[in-house]
Amino acid sequence: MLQLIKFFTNNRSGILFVFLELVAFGFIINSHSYHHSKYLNTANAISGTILKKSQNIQDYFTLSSQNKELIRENEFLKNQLEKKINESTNKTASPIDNISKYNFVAAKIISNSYYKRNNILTIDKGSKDSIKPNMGVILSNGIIGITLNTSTHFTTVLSLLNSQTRINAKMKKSHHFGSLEWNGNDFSHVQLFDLPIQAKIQKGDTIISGGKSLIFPEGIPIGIIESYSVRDKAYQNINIKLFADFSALNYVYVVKNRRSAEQIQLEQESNNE
Amino acid sequence: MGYIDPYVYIIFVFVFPFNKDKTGLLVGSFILGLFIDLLTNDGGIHAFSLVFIAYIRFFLLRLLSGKSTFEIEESTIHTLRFPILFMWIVILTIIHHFLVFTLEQFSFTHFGHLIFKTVVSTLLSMVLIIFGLQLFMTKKSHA
Repeated sequence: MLQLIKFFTNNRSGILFVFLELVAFGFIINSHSYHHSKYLNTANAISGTILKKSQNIQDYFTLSSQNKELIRENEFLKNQLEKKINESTNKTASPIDNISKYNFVAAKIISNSYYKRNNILTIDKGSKDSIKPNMGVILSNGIIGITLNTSTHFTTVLSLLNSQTRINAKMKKSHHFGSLEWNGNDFSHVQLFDLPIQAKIQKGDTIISGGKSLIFPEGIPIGIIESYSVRDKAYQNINIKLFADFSALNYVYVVKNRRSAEQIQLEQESNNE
Repeated sequence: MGYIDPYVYIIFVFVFPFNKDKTGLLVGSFILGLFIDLLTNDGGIHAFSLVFIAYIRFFLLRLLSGKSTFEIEESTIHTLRFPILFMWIVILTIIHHFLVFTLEQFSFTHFGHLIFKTVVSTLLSMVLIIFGLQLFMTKKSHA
């Protein structure tokens, strides 16, 4: 017994080292199953506040590019509005269509990351603004990710640039579906998988979000096909150049689907029958 | 760019006094690492890597300088010869960065990319760390 105590006191730092490494490794494993990574994420008050403060300072250095981005976005929305006004004067829409399916909450990115294999962002809106996990995060010209954990004032977002993200996408011209994933090499390109060979594709074709998921509205532009190859009667390596620049994200929109509960319930009922 | 990803906080392991208790260094490294993880959503990657280099820093210094444990405990970062100090920091930085990027990817499938990222980031970290140490040192000599 005395020898045992002696061993422990002599190797105190060694044992402490092994213990700390095990705890740290536990955290790493935990963070890889993202549904359970509740302990160490930036959606907590302390790091959220620190990140927000530092972002506030950094904002001053990008004011002109932020302005340009807002002007571009304004122009885009004005055009959309104009189109909608023209449409609504031409035909009488059914009243149910007037209740929009989605509404959007603007949020500011306070911590951006795009250079890692698995990127997670933090935004400055939380459960106080009724943001929940599994909501879409978008720009007018791209999909950013899916909300992960929320606290009162902050939310973490699983970026499109993450090995765990799969996003339903389709061809703008032919409505063939595929799945977007990221291979981890270059933050301006993602890859499209499972596109059937029947879809005729060309370089320069536009990819938009598909309407199959409850998370994202249909038809958000994502990017264009930059290169692809065909092998064994299947598409390989369809490389998509993203419209959105992940290295310069600032304001994003969180998508709330008003009918998602209704749709999930309906689908479950149909499955049970 | 997306490749260069320097970490300067590891300077903590270099400037922590040699004659202080090892427990303080390990616990301090763990807490600092967790703090970085908290800000970067990295789970426990930085805590793991920082505790690792904190633990081996003493053995490595003994190996590089050929001095005994007692002699090292007597010396400080200011009394070390520069080539030894430099090698010591380079090796620890490479180990730390390699661990961080490996744990981040969690696989060796893009090994070339991993090595490239480690080397490039180490270079930039080294410049920043040496610069930072210079600040520490000059402050000391004036005091």
